[in-house]
Amino acid sequence: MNAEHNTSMTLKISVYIGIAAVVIGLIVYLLDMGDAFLKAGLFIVIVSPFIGVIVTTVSLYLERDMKWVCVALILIAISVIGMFVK
Amino acid sequence: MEPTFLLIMLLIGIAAGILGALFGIGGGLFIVPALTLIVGLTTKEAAAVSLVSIVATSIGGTVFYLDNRVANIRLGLLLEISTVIGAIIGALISSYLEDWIVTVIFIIVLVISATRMILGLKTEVQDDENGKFMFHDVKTGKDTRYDLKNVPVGFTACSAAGVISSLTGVGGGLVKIPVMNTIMGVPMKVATATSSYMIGITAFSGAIIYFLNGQVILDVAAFTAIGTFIGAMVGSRLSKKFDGSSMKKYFSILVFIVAIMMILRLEGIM
Repeated sequence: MNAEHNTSMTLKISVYIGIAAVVIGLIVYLLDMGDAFLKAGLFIVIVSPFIGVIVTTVSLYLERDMKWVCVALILIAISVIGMFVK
Repeated sequence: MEPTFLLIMLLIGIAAGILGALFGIGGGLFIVPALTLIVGLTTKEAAAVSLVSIVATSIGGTVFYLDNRVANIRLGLLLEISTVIGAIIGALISSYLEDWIVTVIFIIVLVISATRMILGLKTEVQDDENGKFMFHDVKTGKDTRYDLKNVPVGFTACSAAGVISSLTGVGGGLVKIPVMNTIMGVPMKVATATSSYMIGITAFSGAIIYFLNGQVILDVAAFTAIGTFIGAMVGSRLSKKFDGSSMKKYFSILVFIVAIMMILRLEGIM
């Protein structure tokens, strides 16, 4: 399995789970039972591309494509820093 | 929120998803004006919602391009480093900018996008037998080898795409595609596919800051995201039946009209 295939599969699974959680969360939210599910669903949708990058990095590592692993790790580091910026 | 508004947001999402899949755009060009002009959100609120929806739209396109090995995932990772830095800067400065300034920037983005669509600018890339990357065009059956040119310039230019994306809620393909194609010598189809992959990551880096700072209106984002997800699925099926590129010029006229409406709203006329 190559990096492209693994990334594609991860994105598909992650966004499907996220959208399903958003739908459930929306029903719960509209029934005035809190917004925790809704927040969790939107969070999963938002982080899907980031999860994709992590899987790409692991796949490139397994392919021993170390130059691009370094590039991906820099991107992950910057993205993580960005999450904590207020 | 009123059920009518919730339905409107769902429909806005569906329309954006269909247009995104048909025209290869993130959908922000449609979502932001619709949410400001119809629902009455500020441009910044609409941008935050739009970025969440763009993640949902872009994944559909990205999966297709990755499965067909058109997107250059390595190039995408490299250019995303500067794009994400730009997106973080954009999300941060948006907190300090007046809404009218963000609106003006968005109108400029609309006009440039529409002009590019009308002109259909692209650079033909010749086969380079020593190129490190190869692209197989399924339609023509032709293989094109290419190498990356002017990497430092392309890398720096992509930071602008990040700033524009998180400030205005668009995907940033407006900057990324011409940078890859014209400056870096990447074939147009690869540039478009790689941009689709990058748009999701850029939207994530802007959206996560808005989300963690509590600036995403949850129910609006949920309805719009569900809508774009449905729309993207419908749009991707429609795109197999007819070529969306021939309709791009008509879509660009709509974008111009939206830009005029945004100007009228800014002037308090709408």
